[in-house]
Amino acid sequence: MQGVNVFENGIGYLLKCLSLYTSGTGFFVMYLAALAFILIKGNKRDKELFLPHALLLILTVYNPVVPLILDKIFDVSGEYYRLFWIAPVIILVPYVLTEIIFSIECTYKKVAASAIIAAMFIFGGNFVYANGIDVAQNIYKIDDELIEISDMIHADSGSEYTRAFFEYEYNMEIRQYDPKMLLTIDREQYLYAVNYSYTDEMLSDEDHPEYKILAVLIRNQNVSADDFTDALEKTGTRYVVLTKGHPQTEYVRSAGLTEAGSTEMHTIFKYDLEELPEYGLIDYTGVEHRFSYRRLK
Amino acid sequence: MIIVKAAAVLLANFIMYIAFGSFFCVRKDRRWSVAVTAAVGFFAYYALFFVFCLPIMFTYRPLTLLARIWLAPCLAALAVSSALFGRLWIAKTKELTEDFAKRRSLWICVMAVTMVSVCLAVITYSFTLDAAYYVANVATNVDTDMINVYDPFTGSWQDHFELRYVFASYFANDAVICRLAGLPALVQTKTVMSATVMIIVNMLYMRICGYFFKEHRRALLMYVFMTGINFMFISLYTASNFLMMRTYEGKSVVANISVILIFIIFMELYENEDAKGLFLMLFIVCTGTATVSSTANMVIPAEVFALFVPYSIAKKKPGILAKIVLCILPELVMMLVYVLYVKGYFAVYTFPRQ
Repeated sequence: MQGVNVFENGIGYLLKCLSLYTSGTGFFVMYLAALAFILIKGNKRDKELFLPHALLLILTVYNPVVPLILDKIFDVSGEYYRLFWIAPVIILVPYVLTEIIFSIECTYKKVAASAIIAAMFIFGGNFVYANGIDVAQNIYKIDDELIEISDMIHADSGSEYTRAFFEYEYNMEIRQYDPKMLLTIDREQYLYAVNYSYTDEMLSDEDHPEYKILAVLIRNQNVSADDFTDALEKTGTRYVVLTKGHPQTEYVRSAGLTEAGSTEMHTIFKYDLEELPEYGLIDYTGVEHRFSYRRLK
Repeated sequence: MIIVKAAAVLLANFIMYIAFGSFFCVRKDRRWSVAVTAAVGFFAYYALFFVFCLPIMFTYRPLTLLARIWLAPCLAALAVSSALFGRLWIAKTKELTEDFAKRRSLWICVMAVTMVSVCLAVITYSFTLDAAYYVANVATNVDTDMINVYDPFTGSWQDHFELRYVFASYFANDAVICRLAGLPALVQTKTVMSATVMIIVNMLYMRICGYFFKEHRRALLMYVFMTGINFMFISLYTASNFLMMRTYEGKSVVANISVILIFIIFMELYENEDAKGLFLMLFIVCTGTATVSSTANMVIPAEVFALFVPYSIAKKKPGILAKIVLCILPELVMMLVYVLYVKGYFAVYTFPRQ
């Protein structure tokens, strides 16, 4: 769960986790209310189906001590919320609501109950398309422009595989569409750059030339043009795709990159590598096909 | 053409799931549910796929080989299942047709709601960071004709397998289907599998509604409420969010199919304590889920324990405890392997080493 971990929050982790999970909706309140309904009004079957399960969940999954114990075995901070999926909210709440509506005989009261339930869903919930339905532009469900950029780069590069730098969303999406587009930056590196600046020590790390590229293009930090192009050279990055109006556009031009093409919203810059890297697949023909592992500890 | 292929793969998926699921759910002398059969078949399919995938992947043989080999058990299962259960399938089709004629309004409403849910899952755009791994992994496997050997994020060769993901062979199956059907990875994952998952979930919902209410107006209202919760109670983390926005992911399958299906199996056990084959079904679901997403390793044992332990105590049937431990054994083994891997005890290489 983003930003919440067991180590920092201790016994309060579960509550924070639940609060993020429900995000202000009445999700668990409805579940608890439905359990109370079953406890009071439910028949034997309903009680046996739902209550022991709920009790065990309260003692385990919803016990603030349990994440602390689990965290000693493996890091559960990021994933503990998935245990909340076990509570059969999607079964119990609709069942109880249906029972309530059909147990009311008076039509007016039935309409009133339906209105209250509708209000509970509308005001106590969070609509999945609250920000509108974002219909995909094509069957691949990526921007048409990304497809255009991919075609332009391949047409320009003249090689089957080429390496490029993209900005955040495109960096995460391009390889889903075009696996022949190799990327300079992987997901975790990108996420780090979005959140943290690079120290001088990191920028002088010869093993990670990509830090300089990220420092310039994401953090807008000062890196000399020579160091930047040296990083492109070392990582074999031939193309840099930037949004039009990106604050480092002039920097990139002055570092010697040329415009290889542009789309409505993006500019494709090309860097002439001194030596074109040969990207190819590992040849597995003639390899002994045997399971290969090593005990490290 | 791509849309036609996608529709054909979607149909083929359900034919395969019914064929696989029939071995565990369909019996001459008892009533059986198409929804449960398809869902159990889904997990049987992935559990068997895992058995074929792992040796080929860990000996760095091509995806094409896996695709060709995988056709054999699929065709064999289809042929044997058709021969054994064909008549029962026909009888079930007749039964459903009659039921449709009797309760036309119910089925039309259910189909309409399901259709809307499927369409929304298929046509909407949603950006998720995890797709940068999962979908790119399918695309990379198809492009390189290898299985999990190249890093999906960058395309670079990896010297060892990333064990967090390789045991979840769900996406390797997507790559196999892309190779066989010629579908792009994005279409197979975000269209075909999204639709598949959404349809199975809705079928299971109707099974649950039918369990609680024989009267069709009540069943329909409950079904509408279930769908309503999925549309209305969304945060980044709820099962509904995974169903609506990240339908094709393994986590969505765990949260919305496995968890619900295990509850249904529990309900059936509650209904008929002597029902045969329920724990075999549970074992298949647990095993199949473990091969779909590593999330299963934590969620499934917890759910199975939370449901079946109180039941076994209340009914004074300690034998159930042994059965459920066997059912969740795949998750426990995978969890152990994963913990040993992340703690740095071993690595599995993508190239033979001395």
